[in-house]
Amino acid sequence: MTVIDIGGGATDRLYSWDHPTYSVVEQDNPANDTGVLDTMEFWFKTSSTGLKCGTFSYVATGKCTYRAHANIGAVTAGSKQTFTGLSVAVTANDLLGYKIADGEMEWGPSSTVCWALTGDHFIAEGEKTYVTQGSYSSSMNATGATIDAQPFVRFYPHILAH
Amino acid sequence: MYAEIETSGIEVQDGLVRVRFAFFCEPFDPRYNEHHVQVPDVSSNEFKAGYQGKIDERGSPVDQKDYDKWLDSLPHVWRNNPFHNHFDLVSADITDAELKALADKRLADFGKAWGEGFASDVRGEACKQIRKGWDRNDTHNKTKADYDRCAIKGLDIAARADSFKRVK
Repeated sequence: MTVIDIGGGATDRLYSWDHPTYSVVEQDNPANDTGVLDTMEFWFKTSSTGLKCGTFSYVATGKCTYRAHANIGAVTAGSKQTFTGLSVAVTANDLLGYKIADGEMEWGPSSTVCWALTGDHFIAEGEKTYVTQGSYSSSMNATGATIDAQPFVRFYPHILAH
Repeated sequence: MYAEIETSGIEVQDGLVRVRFAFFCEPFDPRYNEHHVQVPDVSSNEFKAGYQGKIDERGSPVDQKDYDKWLDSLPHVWRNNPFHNHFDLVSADITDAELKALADKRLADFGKAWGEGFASDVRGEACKQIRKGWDRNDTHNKTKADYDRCAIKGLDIAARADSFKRVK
């Protein structure tokens, strides 16, 4: 089982951005493998409500397709907030994205860019084209694990019984 | 330490009710200061008056540094944030006693992992520590039900969230 890691990192960053109308997808640290994300971390400057965080399949620069997400809800500001018990599908090279109803996530300069698109795009709607916002990363990341192939006996015990 | 149900995280998922627990330290608990923090007071008149600098057509500040300077100049308040948050899927048939027992178990397990951990800026390290408290083999009530029953149970838990507060 391999540990999956995605997102720029939930650290105490310098800036914050008031943008509750956007869905945001970031290029920083795409998923290293395929499996399920069960833990997410965030650092907010001002407390947030209605946080959604999920995975997007990379198509091309500024283009991606929604895959899956978790409704986190309200998140308090001022320290790293960790959430376990999640189950969000992820595929290698997916990008991490989020949407909030209110509040401000921290962000900082990055070597990779961030995309945003007005509206809630955490729904299965096919490929969407986002607008590049600049070179930065938000304070978020998620971890999980690959799903190992199950032993033959688990699926076909009746065959082995004969 | 204590555990509360955070109502904004409750929803129906796969025939079960998803419940979000938030775990807090008290002043005498280990590493209390890590989540006892100052944040901008969003109830202050200064915050409500809003940012007076230039904003673009989408309402975003044009000068990010000026905006952050304004944010830092606002009155701040102390807040005790959760040291951890965890989601569990439970049955619509779960009893109050079962839900309280689950909260007690999660609080004990995550509290232990938190107490035995340490602050770390190394990527993934703090996460790895707290995940030691996640018992994935827990056998709480996970009998599935239809959407309506789950939704009603979720609303019921949210309405009585205060009654599920657990103290260690």
